[in-house]
Parts: sequence; structure tokens; C-alpha cells
Amino acid sequence: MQPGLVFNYITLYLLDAVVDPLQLLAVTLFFVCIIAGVVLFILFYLIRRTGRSMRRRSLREQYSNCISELAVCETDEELQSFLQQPDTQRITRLLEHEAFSRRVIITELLKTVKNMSGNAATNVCWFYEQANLQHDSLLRLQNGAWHVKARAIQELSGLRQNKYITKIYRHTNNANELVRNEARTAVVKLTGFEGLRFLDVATYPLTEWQQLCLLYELSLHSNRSFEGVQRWLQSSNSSVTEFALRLVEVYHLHACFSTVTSCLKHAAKPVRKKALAALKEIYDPAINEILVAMFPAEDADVQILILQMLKEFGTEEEQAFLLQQLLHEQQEIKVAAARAVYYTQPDAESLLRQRVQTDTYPWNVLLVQLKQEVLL
Amino acid sequence: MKILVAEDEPIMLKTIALRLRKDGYDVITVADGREAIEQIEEQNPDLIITDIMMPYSSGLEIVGKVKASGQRNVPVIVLSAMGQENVVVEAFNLGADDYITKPFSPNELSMRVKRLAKTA
Repeated sequence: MQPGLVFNYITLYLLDAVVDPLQLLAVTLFFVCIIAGVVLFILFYLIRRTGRSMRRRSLREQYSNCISELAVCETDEELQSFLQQPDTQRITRLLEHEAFSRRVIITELLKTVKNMSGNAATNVCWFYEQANLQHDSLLRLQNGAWHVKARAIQELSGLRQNKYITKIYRHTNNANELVRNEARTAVVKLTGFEGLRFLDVATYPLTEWQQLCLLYELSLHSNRSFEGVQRWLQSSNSSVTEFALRLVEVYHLHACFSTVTSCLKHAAKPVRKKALAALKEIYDPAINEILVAMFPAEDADVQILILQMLKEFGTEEEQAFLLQQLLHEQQEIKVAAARAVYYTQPDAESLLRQRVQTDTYPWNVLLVQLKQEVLL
Repeated sequence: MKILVAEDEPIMLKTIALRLRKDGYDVITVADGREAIEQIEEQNPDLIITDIMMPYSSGLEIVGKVKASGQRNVPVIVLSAMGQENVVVEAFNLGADDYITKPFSPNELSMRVKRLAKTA
């Protein structure tokens, strides 16, 4: 007898003995139904998705013609005649009745404003209001999903809806990081330095990325106002203090010197590091003594920053301190101190030769390198 | 005067084309780098406006090819995004004649085209 037949006999015997054939049929049918259901669902989903993406493509095509015509309008008369065009009226009617169309056109308008400035951008924002599209964005701002809310904030700020600033402002301290980041960037984008007032009440931290985004948005505004900086430097939120220090650094706010100096005693190390960076930009000779005094209690990375500052601003008064650091146990600090001596002290080379063994590592390499640096 | 505009963003492409047609230029539009290179060879435009980031061939490749070919006297304006200063420098090294950073006003582009058209 063949082994295949034996196997079949055994299987049938076991099935007869253990499972009722009717039960087996019912279970099989049940699983077949589930699989068919899943397949049908996937099919339905794919058809719907393809349909939507085809519809989106076709709407984009229609809108791109309309938006480009809108963008090149130069006078009010041209804008009014654009609104009267049959194509524009057809699109406006479509926008009144179909939420999907409104979503697509808002995305296209936003994209256009990001790429164009001047009259073209103004016309696009004007059309956004004319077609009442801001109501869609405002509705989405009330949505519970964070990504919908964040997108709505982007739309309102990108399309220059300054009149809704208070609605956006409410989200600057939102529990969701992405929503509050969008809201913070939006208020600064819309109102410039004035928008920074959210720092007074910010309890959540500002990430490094957020700080850079805010600085970028501020750089696009010419009406500068630094009224709150002193307050923010003393904020209980250390990330707000860090950001205020960045403002001092970027905009050279000399009036904040004493408050920045007090930040050198801040409990958070990132704040102390940012304070050193800010002081570099608003330097005052009085700071050298403070730097020398704070040096022993600091971590190595902050000590290196202090030595880097003294490399730029050190005087003969710091000579003893700098020479003492040449004997520090950490190599990086020795090197930073040697560099500071070389750059700031008169007759530095002979000073270094008296203090260190010039024929041993790292001094044999370092002295040659420093000489080259200074010559360059 | 025949101007070739290469830009992969449809609204930007149409807006630039419309603005230049308003000024009376004959405009050829292409949406990717490969098509741009083909059209430059076929149509011999008098001025080229190209975006830097495009599918298939970048704006830099277009500048390089134009300036290394018999059409080296054809002025090229490069459209760049903010923060692409290094790329703009590279475009100038390859021979680009002018650049404009996004976001830009179509009117400003039109003025730059007029200026270059005088020298072309």
C-alpha cells in the first residue's frame, strides 16, 4: 500500500472519530465568511481610496488653473473680473457644497502662499476669506484629534488670518506638544515679537527645535520689541530662560547684561551654557572675574566654555588662573587653557615653555599647532 | 522671445507662465528635469527659468548642460528655496545668470526676466 493512501485513511478515520462532519463544515464556512469579509473590506477601502485620490487629482488640476489666474491679478478690477469668470463661479459653487473640495483647495492655497510673496500671496489669502474657507479651518481647530487641530493652526497662520489670533493663542500651552508648537510658531508668524507674550504663561518646555523655529519666524519681522526679555530671563520655566538667552545672543541685548550674569548661577546646566553664549555677544570686562570665580564648581563642558570665552576676552589679570589650568588633570581643559594663554597673554610662548614639558605629548604637538593658528 | 520654465509644482509653473505670457513672451512649460533637457534641445529657448529641486534631473544639471553646450549664452534664472544658499553658489559656479528665492513675487520674477532679456 502506498504511504499517501495510508495517510488519507488515517486522517479520515480520525476526523470521523473526533469531529462531526457537519460541525467541520460549519467551522469551515465561518472562516471562509470571515476571509471573504476581510477581502471585501480591503477591496472597498482600496476602491474608495483610489476614487478619492483620482478626485483629488482632478480637483487639483482645476484649482491650479484658478489659483494661478488669481495669483497674477494686479488690481481690484482684475480680482473682481476673476470672481465673475464662469470657471471661478463653478468652483465657488462646488466649494459651498463639498467639504472634500474645500479641504483640497485649502491645501493648494497654503502651498501657494509658501512659494509666493507680494501681490500673489495677498490675492490667495483674500480668496481664502472670500470663499469662507476659514470657517472650515476654524471648525477643524475645535476637533479633538491633535493632527487635525495642528493642521488647522497651520492653515490659519499660513493664510494670514490675524483676526483669529486669540483662538490660536489658546493653544500655545496645549498639552499636546505638536499642537502647542504649531500654535506658538503661528502667533509669532502672525504678530512677530508681540506674539512672544505666550512665554509669560508657558508651563510646558520649549524644545530646541521649537526655539529655532521661533527665531526663524522672528527674523522675518522688522518691528522688534524686547519688552518681556528681562521677565523671561527670570522665568521658572528653564526652557523659557534658555530662549530668552538666545534672544539676548542673537539681538545683542546689552541692557540685559546683569540679568544674564545672574543666569550663570542657574541650577540648570543648559541655562548656564546659554548664558555664557549670550555673554559672549554682550561682553563686558566685569564678567572675567565672575567666570574665574565660577570655574571650580562647574562641570568639564562648562569649564571648557569658560576657557573659550577667556581665549577671546582674557587679560593679564587672568594669567595666573590660566597658567594654573595647564596642570589640570583633564586633557581637554589643559588644551583649552593653553589656547587661552596663547591668544591673550603677552609673550605666551615663553610662558608656556616655562610651565610645561614642551617635548612631551600633548605639548609638543599643541605648541606647533597654536603657533600655526595664530600665524593664520 | 521664447522662455522655457521648468518647475514641478503645477501652480507655480502655471502662475509663472501666465505672468510671462502677460508680458508678451512665448512660454514653454515643463514639469521635470528630463523633459526640460529634451525641450531645450528641441526648442532652443532664449531664456530658461528652472527650479533646483525637480524629478529626474535637478536644476543644477540643467544649468550645467546648458552652459556646457552650444547654448551657453542663453541666460538661466534659478529658483531656489530658502536655505539653499550653497546650491545657489554652485549654480552660479556652473554659469547661472540670476537666482530668485521662494517665496517670491511673480512681478519680481518678471522684472528679472526683463533685465536679462535686454542682455540676451
